[in-house]
Amino acid sequence: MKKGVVFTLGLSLLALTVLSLSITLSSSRDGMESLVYDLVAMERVYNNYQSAASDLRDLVLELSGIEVTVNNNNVLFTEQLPNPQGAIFTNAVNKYYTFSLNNTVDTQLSLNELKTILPLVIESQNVTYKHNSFGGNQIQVRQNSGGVQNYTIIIEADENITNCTYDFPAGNNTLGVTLQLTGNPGNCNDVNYADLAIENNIFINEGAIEITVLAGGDLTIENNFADSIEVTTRIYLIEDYDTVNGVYLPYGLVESSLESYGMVKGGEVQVA
Amino acid sequence: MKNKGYVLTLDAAVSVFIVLTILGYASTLVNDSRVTQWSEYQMLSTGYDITTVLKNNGVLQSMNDSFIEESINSVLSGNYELRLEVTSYRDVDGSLVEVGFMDVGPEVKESELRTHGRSTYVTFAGNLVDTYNAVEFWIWLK
Repeated sequence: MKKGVVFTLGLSLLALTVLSLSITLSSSRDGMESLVYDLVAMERVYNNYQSAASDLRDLVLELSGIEVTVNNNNVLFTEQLPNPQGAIFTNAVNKYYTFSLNNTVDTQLSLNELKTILPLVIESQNVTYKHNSFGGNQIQVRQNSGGVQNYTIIIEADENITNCTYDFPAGNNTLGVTLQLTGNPGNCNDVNYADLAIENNIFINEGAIEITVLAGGDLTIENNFADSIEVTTRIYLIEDYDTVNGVYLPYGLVESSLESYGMVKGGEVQVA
Repeated sequence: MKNKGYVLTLDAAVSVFIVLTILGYASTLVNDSRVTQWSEYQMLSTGYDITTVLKNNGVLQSMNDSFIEESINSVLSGNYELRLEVTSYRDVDGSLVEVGFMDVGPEVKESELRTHGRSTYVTFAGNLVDTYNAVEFWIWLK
């Protein structure tokens, strides 16, 4: 009789042990299930973001007419000024916005700045190459934290270059400005240093091309000739190579979200 | 003596019943099929990866369905099936107009383990956009 009780109790204890292990396993699965739901949502949000970001990068690289090259300590932007691709690019961005609105409900685009001034940001120096109006006659370089040590501006103009006037008042002249202009005929080649406390200017053909280094070190290049000129703006950065991450479209152009999970993915889109 | 035998047998039967009941319940907990969520993640990830590879290699841009199918089969794991649908739009006189539809892969199978994702890409002709393309994929276990 005693043996039977011991046997029954032993078997019951074994079964209860198995049951408690199963309950533990099951509850840990509940946690994993929630984690996997989150992973699925994150995968969707991430890929929706990447898809739109990749499309915008393609639009910029294929249609903007701007060639971007990242070197060790400098970045080159080459384009025609005014840029003949301006209207084409703007139209393509508008169409992409409509397309995205109809086909990718979880992706939000904010493309107004992209299509109007096409800003390209050098990171991590936070130097922005942009336009007064993309397709217009002015290029602007804005440095927010003094990341530039030299501008080299290479211009090819199919114009008769008759005079180049440099206005770089004496002071604490630290920012290098190199101009290499090839006309047809005529040219200007000179190196000057700008005082960041005041405005400095280069006038070509009495202002047909005007290069301005504003107080603070921002740069403006304006073409008032009737025809386009080719402008290469080489921006030498103060930081060394390790901190030049590349050239990006600004933060906030693309956001992908899943509201039910409270997930939002945004970021900068790298173009070079 | 005979009664003792009955009691013993009854006791054994009751204890076996209790033990089997407990083990059966434990078994349902262990074999819970929530593991399928993990499979959904793996399938979704595979679907997005394949779509990205096809885009990055210019395969989708070719709009050649047999080439796309061949490329999918070369990278898709043998235990999955994938269907891809691409709808193309073009700017016609200022409006986006659907100009093409392409489907690749078997009909979508009604399977418990099935998932679905979307992507987009743009094709170019010279310095103009040719088409804006919306991709949908379905992936499931064979």
